[in-house]
Amino acid sequence: MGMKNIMNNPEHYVDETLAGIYSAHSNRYTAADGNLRALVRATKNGLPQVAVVTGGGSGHLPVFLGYVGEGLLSGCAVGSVFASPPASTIETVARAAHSGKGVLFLYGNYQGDVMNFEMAEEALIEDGIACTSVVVADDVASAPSERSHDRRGIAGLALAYKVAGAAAAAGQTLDEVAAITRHALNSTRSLGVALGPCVIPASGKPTFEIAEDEMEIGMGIHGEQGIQRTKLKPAREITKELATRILEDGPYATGDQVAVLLNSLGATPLEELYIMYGDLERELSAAGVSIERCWIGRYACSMEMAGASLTLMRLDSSILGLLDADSYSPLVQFGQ
Amino acid sequence: MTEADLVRKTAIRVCQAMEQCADELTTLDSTAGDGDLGINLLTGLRVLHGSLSSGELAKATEIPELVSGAGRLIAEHAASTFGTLLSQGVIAAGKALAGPDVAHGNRLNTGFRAALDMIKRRGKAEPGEGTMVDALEPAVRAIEAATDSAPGNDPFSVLKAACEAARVGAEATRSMRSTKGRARWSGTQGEGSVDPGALAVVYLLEAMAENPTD
Repeated sequence: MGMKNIMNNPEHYVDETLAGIYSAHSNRYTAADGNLRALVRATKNGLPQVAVVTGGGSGHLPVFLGYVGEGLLSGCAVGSVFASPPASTIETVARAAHSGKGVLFLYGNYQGDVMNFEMAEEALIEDGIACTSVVVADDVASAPSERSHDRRGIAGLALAYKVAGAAAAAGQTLDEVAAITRHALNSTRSLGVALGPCVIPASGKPTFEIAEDEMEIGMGIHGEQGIQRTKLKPAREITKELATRILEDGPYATGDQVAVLLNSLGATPLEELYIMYGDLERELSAAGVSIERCWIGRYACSMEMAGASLTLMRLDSSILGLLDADSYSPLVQFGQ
Repeated sequence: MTEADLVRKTAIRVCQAMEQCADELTTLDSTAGDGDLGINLLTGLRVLHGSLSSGELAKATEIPELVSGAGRLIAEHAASTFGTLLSQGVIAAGKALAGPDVAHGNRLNTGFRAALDMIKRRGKAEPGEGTMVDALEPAVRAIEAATDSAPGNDPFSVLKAACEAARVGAEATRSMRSTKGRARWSGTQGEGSVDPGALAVVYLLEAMAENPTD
């Protein structure tokens, strides 16, 4: 079966998406230095705060730019589909977003992004702007726990953005915002299941091939190979598998409270996520882990990829307060 | 034809040649990595081609300026992992070539050595990890060996020797387990196939090794 997509010209996929976003939300977003790929908040808060800046390849909305908003991120550098933004764009975003309290770069662990963010950070530090980076590496499927720094960043990004954005909005210093974000990420783990690929617009090719009746646990959001391909299983078995692997990998124990992010990779509908949620609650409660907050929907996608991911973040009072803080973005909801 | 013109013509030839290789690199990259290598590289090289033939870089009269400018365009328009590494290498080569002590017969190895060192530093990569470095490092050694034995050697024959070394190096990535880039997560899936970044280095060198005035 072929894929059908609504677009004008595959080569303009990213820029036409951005043009739509700027015109739909002109009161919220503006292009720094006129560079459409350097998206920042249209209005800065009254008081100076740490600028939390992200960036990454396109094709994952609402990741990355959808998390720019009040109580969330200050700006986002936008790359081509699945490719890092150049260091120069990251620099433009960071300079525009900076309001005197330093810049926290918060992004997913992909080599192209790491290199470009490092180069941008070096340039800003040379100009005397305080910078720190926190790299999100939450996907348990992408490397064993002894090499957890090699892991990819996936939907855990969404929760990290929320924590960092709330801490920055609360007036915390750069070191404090970085520390609480790292602390929250230390107890955050994600794992996904893929049912079908997405098509990269410019090549017209799917990111991977999978039979109609198969699924793959742990496949990356760019089609990177996962850890287990099997026949499609019922929701409760999929959910149990995701939850079990995350609980085994992360620092979770009986009596813990967690926040849950149950995320569609793009094509999977809310109905299926809620079927999974019912199963998940039973699984976690059997393990003595209670769900204090949950967000269910499209938080980190790969265009029309089918499948879902589960993220758990262990809570303490400092993290919970930040997750509960007010925030607003037109592209993503963190309501309770 | 000035030397800068020769470098410009060679660069244009590289841009044209990569049009033919992009599909193969993309397919290879979707097995081992994330399937964007060819497309992003091509996007960047098309912009570079435009600049070399009728834009800013068509006017550059000095080799270092031409090389650095090309690197900056690639950085801007091909920011994938491979494109970023390539661009930083090319920019470093341009900087090294602008140095005061670069002897005439030494430019090829000066530029390539600077590029390799920067790519290894930026990519935190060493030979044996199944990356572009496995093709580039032997190529640079071949260039150094050729220019050491006969400074001022015909640059295109030196580059031909580099291609062969790069080809052997790229072939060797078939049996390496990737520990870098996106390919590191799919060590089993990518096993047995050439690293797309290493193969891209081979194709780039092959295009450079053809004298555009022949």
